[in-house]
Amino acid sequence: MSLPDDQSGEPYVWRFLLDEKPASEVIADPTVELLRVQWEQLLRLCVPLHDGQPVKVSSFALMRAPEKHIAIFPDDPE
Amino acid sequence: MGGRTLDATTAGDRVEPVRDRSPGHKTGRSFLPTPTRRRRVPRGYESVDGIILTEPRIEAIRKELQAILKVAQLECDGQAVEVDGFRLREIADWADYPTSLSDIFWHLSSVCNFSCEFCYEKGNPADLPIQNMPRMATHEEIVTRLRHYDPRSGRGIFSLRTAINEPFANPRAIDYLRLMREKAPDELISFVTNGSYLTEEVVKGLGDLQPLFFNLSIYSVDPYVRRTVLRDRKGDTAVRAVELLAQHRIPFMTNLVMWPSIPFSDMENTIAHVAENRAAVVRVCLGGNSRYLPGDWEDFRIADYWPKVVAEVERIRDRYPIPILIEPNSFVRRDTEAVVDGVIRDSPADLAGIRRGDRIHSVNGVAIGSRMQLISELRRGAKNMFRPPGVVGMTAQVHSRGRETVLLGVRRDGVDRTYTLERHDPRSIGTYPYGQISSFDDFVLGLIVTDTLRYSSLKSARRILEHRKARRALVLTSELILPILRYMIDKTGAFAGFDVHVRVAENRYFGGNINIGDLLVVEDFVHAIGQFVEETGDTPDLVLIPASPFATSPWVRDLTGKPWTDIERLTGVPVEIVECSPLVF
Ligand code: SF4
Repeated sequence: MSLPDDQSGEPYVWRFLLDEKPASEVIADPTVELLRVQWEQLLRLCVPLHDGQPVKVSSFALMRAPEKHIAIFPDDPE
Repeated sequence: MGGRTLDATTAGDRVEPVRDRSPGHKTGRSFLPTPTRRRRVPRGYESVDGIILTEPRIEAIRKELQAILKVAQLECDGQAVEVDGFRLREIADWADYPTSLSDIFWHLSSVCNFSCEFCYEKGNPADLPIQNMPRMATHEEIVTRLRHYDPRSGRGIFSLRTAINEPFANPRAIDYLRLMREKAPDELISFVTNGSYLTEEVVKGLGDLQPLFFNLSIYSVDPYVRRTVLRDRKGDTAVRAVELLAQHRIPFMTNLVMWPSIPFSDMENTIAHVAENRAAVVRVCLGGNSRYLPGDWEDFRIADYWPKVVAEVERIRDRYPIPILIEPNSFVRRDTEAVVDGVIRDSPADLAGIRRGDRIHSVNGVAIGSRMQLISELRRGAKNMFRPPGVVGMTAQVHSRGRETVLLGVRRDGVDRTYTLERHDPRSIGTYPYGQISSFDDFVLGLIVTDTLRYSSLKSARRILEHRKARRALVLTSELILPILRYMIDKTGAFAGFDVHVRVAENRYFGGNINIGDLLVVEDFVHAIGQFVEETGDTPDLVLIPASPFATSPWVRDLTGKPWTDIERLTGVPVEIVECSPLVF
């Protein structure tokens, strides 16, 4: 069962537009991009830790393709 | 909805009562809290359980990180890095939660040195996020909370919700109170404590930290009851604390829990002791148990026991000059009449001769129709401060800009009188405890008037029915609120013209003899809807539920962390929530 729609009839003010072009049209591997965007957003909110200490993170690799390193912030200076 | 037939058993399967949860069930022995199925949290980390209700975004981050780490390895400079936790990047960005010094103080400890037989915190289901997680706040935590607390806006860092809190178990409690005073010199700090840490030295130290207000869970003055029922090993410190607070003119109210192993004679002795020492109010809480409470409570029938306690309170109440309130109040007050529940000794109301049972029919010329309207009129202009869930049931407002001179129209024995009362009447201000609490909004003029349902909630319910053009609506409430709700519906005809069915949602999740609306959870409502459909063979086109069971969470989640919208998702029946506050006294 899905989540109910908002039917309360309240005037609802904030509606946000998605990008005009769906990501899949411009990105070679949308799944990788999905993960990259998730990391990017999460890292803006939180700091990953190990044993309680901050861990520096710059890229990730899919478990099934560990040889390919994907930069989380592609516009970072090298 | 879409013609779907609800299956009551589907919803109910997950909440079937599990008897025999406690190891003591068969033997009648009492046991300490059953260990819950919690994962041990390594040192330096925090369980998110305590913040699911207050800051579910952190739980969302955690879940997302966990899911994504299953498919992707994080790296730094091309090398794999291990991650076992996270912290928020900018804590200041998260400091917009309604809070107060009292709430910050609440975080000091989540341990208790007692193990009361009736402690409802011991009777929590294993999957309840608010659990008894023994925890002592670190110095850094309290300092950080204070740094990000803005007394003017009443906002700060989100709260952690744990079950048991005896703040004075934290050995630095007084030091933290001093820090808090520096932060906000005039803000009331109120707290619940069992009093066993309130030695002469501690109470003396509190004297210059006012305004303070203690909600002292004294429970009993009998040494045997204290030892065996409360498992208090600290001698008579808590009993003596009552005298010390009075000596140092620190205002307090007290709680008793009436429970089968506490004799009525002890209740009276305890009331006598706190009255003699000028407690502002005494609350007699009617004990109940969830099905998880250790011990054998099978034969504990509140339907028999509660009326006996109430009768005993009525028998003795006139002997003591102290307002004695019964909680849950809705068990004894089943109407909305604006009747005085008690007056504080030597307060302006007391000096004027106003008594318990007097009916207030006007305030400064405004006709009063209900208790809630009376409370609003008395507090008119007062700052509506946030009451942290942990300290609900105690006063939390201070330095109000509420009314100072009040003209009260009072009816007693059919005779109307008018009184002019000064909130800061010098004859009262010099007395204890009124002098210390005259500016607390719960005690305006020394009048004690207990909370009840508001007629505005019925009005909102009607508006929703009209807006949704409901043809057949189901209104869910709790067993305790049902009588007063029926009274209000009959009195106002609020649902006239609509086919409205009012039903009780049972507290199946907590089970036992719990009958309190504020402890209802999503699955209780789901079950009640299923039961209604099964019983009537028809699905309602709208269900109205009260907001109060979701009030612990600013994100409108129940005590298990589930959002109220899950009820509609799980049943397919449109559900609307009706604003109503948790009842305070
Ligand atoms: S003093 Fe309160 S928190 Fe402590 S065990 Fe007793 S009831 Fe529970």
